[in-house]
Amino acid sequence: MPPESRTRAPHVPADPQAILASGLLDRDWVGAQLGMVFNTDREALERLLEQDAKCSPHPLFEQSWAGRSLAAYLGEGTARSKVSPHPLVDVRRILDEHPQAARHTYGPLSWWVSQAGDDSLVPVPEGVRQVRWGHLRAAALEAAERRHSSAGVRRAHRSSRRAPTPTPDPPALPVGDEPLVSIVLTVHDDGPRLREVVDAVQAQTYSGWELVVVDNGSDDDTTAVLTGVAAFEPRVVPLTVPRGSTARARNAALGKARGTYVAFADTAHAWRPDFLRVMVGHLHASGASMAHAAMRVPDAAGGEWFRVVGGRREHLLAHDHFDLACLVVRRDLVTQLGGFDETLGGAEGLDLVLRLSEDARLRPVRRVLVDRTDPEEEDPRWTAAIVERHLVDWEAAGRRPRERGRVSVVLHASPDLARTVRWVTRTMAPLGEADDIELVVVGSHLPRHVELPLAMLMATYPRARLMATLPRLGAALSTNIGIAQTTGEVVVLARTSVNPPRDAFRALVAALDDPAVAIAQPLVTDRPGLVVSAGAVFGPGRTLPEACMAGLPVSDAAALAARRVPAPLSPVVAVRGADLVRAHGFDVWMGDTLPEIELGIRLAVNDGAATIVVPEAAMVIKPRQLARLDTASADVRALQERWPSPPPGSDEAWAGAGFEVVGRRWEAPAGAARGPLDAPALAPRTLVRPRRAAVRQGPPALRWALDIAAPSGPRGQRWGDAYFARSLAEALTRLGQRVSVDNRDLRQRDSRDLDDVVLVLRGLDRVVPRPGRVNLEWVISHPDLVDAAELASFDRVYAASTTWAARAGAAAGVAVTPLLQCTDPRLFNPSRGEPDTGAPVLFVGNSRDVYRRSVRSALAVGARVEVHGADWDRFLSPDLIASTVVANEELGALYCSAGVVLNDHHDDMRRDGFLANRLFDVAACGARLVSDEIDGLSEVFGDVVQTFHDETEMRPLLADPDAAFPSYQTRLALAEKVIREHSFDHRAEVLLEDAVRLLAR
Amino acid sequence: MAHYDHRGGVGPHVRRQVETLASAVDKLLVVSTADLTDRSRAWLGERAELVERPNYGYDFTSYQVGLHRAGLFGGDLSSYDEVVICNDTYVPVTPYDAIFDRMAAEPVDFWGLTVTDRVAPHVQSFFVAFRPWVVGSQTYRRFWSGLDPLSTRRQVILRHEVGLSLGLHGAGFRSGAYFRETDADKRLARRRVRWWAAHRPGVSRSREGLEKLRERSREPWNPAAALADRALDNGRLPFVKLDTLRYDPYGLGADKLLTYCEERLPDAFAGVRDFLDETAAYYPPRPHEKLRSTPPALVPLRRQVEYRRAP
Repeated sequence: MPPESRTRAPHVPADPQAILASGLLDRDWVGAQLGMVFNTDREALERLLEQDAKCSPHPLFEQSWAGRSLAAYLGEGTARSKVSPHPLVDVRRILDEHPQAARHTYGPLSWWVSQAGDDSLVPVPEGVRQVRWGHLRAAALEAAERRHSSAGVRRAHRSSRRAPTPTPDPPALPVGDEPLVSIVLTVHDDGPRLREVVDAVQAQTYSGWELVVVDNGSDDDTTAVLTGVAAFEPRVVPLTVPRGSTARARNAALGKARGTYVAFADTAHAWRPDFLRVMVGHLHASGASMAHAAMRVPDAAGGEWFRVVGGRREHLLAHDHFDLACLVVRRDLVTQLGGFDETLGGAEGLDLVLRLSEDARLRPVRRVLVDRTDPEEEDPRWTAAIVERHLVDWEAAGRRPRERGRVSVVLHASPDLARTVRWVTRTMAPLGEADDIELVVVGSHLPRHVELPLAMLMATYPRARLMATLPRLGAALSTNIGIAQTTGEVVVLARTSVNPPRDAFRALVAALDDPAVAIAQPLVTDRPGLVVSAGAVFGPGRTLPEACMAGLPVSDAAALAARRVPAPLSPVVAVRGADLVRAHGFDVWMGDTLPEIELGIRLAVNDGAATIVVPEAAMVIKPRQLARLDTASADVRALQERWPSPPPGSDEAWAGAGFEVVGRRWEAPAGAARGPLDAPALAPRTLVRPRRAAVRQGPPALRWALDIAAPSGPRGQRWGDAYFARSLAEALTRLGQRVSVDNRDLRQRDSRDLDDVVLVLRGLDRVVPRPGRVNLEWVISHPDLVDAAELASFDRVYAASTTWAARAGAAAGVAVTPLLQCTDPRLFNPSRGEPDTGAPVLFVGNSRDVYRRSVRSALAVGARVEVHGADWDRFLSPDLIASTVVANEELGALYCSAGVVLNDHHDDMRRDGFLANRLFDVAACGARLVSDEIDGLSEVFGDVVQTFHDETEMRPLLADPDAAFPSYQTRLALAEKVIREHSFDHRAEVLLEDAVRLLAR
Repeated sequence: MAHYDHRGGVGPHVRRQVETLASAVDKLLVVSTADLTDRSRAWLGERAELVERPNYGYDFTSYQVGLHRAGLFGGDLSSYDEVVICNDTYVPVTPYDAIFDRMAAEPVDFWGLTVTDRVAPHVQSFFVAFRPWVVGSQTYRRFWSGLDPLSTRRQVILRHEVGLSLGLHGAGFRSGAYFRETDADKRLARRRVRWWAAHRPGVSRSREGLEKLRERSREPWNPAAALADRALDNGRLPFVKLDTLRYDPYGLGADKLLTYCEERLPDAFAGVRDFLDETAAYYPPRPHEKLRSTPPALVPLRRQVEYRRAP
């Protein structure tokens, strides 16, 4: 992936010869992008160089992805082997399969292109489907041509810093008794600006007009001002209507209008004196139906933009805003359409012109005749609602048959190509042939360097399509456009603003097998392991969503009994396609943050169907990637308008997760309120406490936090502490306890206040006890880091060494209870394998950058040791290292089948008598075990474990194990004892008993 | 029309104003704060509806009382083509009929005899006419119903006179004036403002003083003072303010102006000199308007700025 893809490429002067010789100039491709046909490569190259980065030289080279121009890429030498030139090219793969490519003058990609035929497989990165070069290139050319065909539309949308070259003056217009053009002006509580508009109209150089002014139920003196205006200007037709929508007021004016043409003045735009003369003149002379004047738009920085708008419907659909004041149109056309849509509360001008453009073309008049004086834009919600009306045909979508068993995934693509590529590949990667997945990616207003590579990637999959819409659309509307195209039984809606989940869709889709379920969402967590959202819940009062279980450990969500929640709150949701189309998808009125929540409420209220959270489908997102849900959010206010009271089921959702609601807090974001006059946005937070069973047999069900020093993420999961904690947590869970294993990043989580017991498995970090909880510490390693003060700060301290417990306890004056390491009998027991069928001598463990003495001694006496573990390559030849990682689940089988298993301790641990857990694991398997000498060894393991100090003692143990070790029967007896007395279940019982006693104090 | 006379009488110019006004309008209402003599009361009562009220609150309170009496609230005041407020502080030199006729076609919502940009652009309140839609407007009614009597002339100018125009302009109404300043008028007025600035007290011979002088020279003018002699130009300025004659605020030779007026407009000014003399005791000098004597260097310039007989 190109981390530097968004940085500006350094300018390197192009060497035309090098580009031509590299073969990385595809003239058909350049031509397709520019809408031209080149006869020679040189011709294509000349045009390419003029285009700078606006055109790609080859389907497999994209400048913004590579972070450098082709010229720079070709001149880089070895760097070419490291830089990805395109999302569909893995240079390393070329080099692995064809080492000779490294020696090519212009790099591996150039080598590959030089020898590739139509049937060659493209060296795509892992996760991308195999595709033949001929197919991919054809798809690329088609995508480029398709994009070029809409270039005119795309240009129509642009504003320019340069004023347009003015069109010639139209012929003079007649001035008769009847007005040729009616001007419609609606005004509400704006007397002063009414005056200005009337002045601008009176200043027009063409006088054959009438001005129909509608006072839209003003509460101030606008009516009086209008009376005054009309008293001295006979061409003004005053009209007063009760307060209503602007559309209704304009229609009232249209009802009075007499002109052949109609124009729309407003208080946000100023007409220049020639507006009517030029605009009506052009229409009159050309016979056109409607025309749009060029407009000047000042910007905040003191600069100015110019907008020229025109074209057919597809051109106009590329706009997200329309300045009605620039339009002059034949009045009969507007009347035939029934005028403005009175149900609209905004953007009615855009709606009108889109409807007009179905039959007529908008003629651009390239002369600046209008100044936009008011920077206020229209409400984007109305714009979205109108664009949806014109872009999404829900009726047709409802008639489209849905394929049983097919899953459609709708992605709203962001301009971040790398992330979108990741989403596409990860969505499609785990597919087997049997999976029927349809992928619809909707990207609005995508730049070329995103659209074309994405279109090529999509072409590698059978049922994938990219919908590149021209207007700038929000996530909700883009998603709706995608939904209307789907054919799957189930539709998964996903936002690419977060990272893609690893195969989260399958579990989501399966959850919809239940007909009572309408929406399924994944459990959304953060990387350290806290819940970010398990659906949306609501407090009493106004509808104000809040993420359910936010801040609680993931273990709480995994224990969800009833997973039903009032509404989803997740960047990914799965819904039945038919339900989705019937509901007309997302409500674009909700803005871009809350459409999932609104959809959930709507389906629940209208269909009585439920939203469920699927813990098996987990999704990890970064903080702040979830929508802002506070009192100041415009989208929350829109939600409250639509659903004034919250949907039911919030308390039940909490109850299902094992909590009861005790109150609600309102929190301002940190640092938002500094002074008494600040009014920060407040976000609700439901206060809960764990539900306790009133009557219960056996020990009480407590909440435990197991604190370990391992960091979060996959790396931390492999720490020994983490394995140990998971096994202990499982044992406690079997005793009816609820346990969260907190890695070091979760140590400060607020929700620890809901826990009863904090058990610190002492590793590298010193942990301060949590006030108000029962605080236990179990020293299992690094005893040298533990001092007397630390021991004294806990309610009870355990140590995995009898000798250290006695010594440290005596020194600190604190009781330290010996609690040895232990084993998990489900993983480690004699039935896991046949003795002497595996490695004759086995060692499992990382080197810790030490040539560990058991391995060293064994090798010194000529034994062939099979080593599993990391960081051994410094000390051992590769053939001795069987693997670098062994899954915990497979360890038991390795131990059982081994001839002899080696073990040794860290010097500190040996000194302090901390028996390694490996001893317990191996003994529980009934295997022969050689260990270094350590206090307490024989007390636990008797003579089954043989010890060594050096090679001479090691030699006989390995030379003839049968003679040196007790019989298998004896070893089995020890295994039974270890399983009975030194299992995690046993330790859990001890800990629980102590915790209960301490709680009762 | 607001009236006041220290002696309880009706001045000669006021008599002429009442008579010409009464003949030009449908209804004349005189609100007097004077302790009227029986003769004066009878004289006024014959020619107008007379309202007497205690003397407080300057002319704006009289306007307020008069408008109330005329039916601004609950009455049919906005059925008139125009509602005018004026006072007795000027000598009219142009027939009101002519003024009303010309202003009827002006596309404005309210108008006066003059406008000035001093403090803020406003119609000078010794004579203002309002069209009926203004009289019926919320802003207008709110202004008059919320008007509290003030006790200093300066406050009345700032809050009432300027405030009235500001409020109406803010609502979207346009104002105009009978007196139209020509470019020559404007140049002359600017010269006279500079002359005035050079005579105003409170400027020291320092850098700051010079800056203050410059600032004062750039101030907008009061046409009633700066262009008072335009009344002699066939009544283009349709009045002469008594204050101009009494105080000569810009130091332009008010005594000469009176003489010229008497020569050129004998009917309008008959008895005015005597009236000024007789009432002088009631109009003490205004200390802050007192001017310094002309610096010797400026004496030759006097002829360029002082009031003239004819333009």
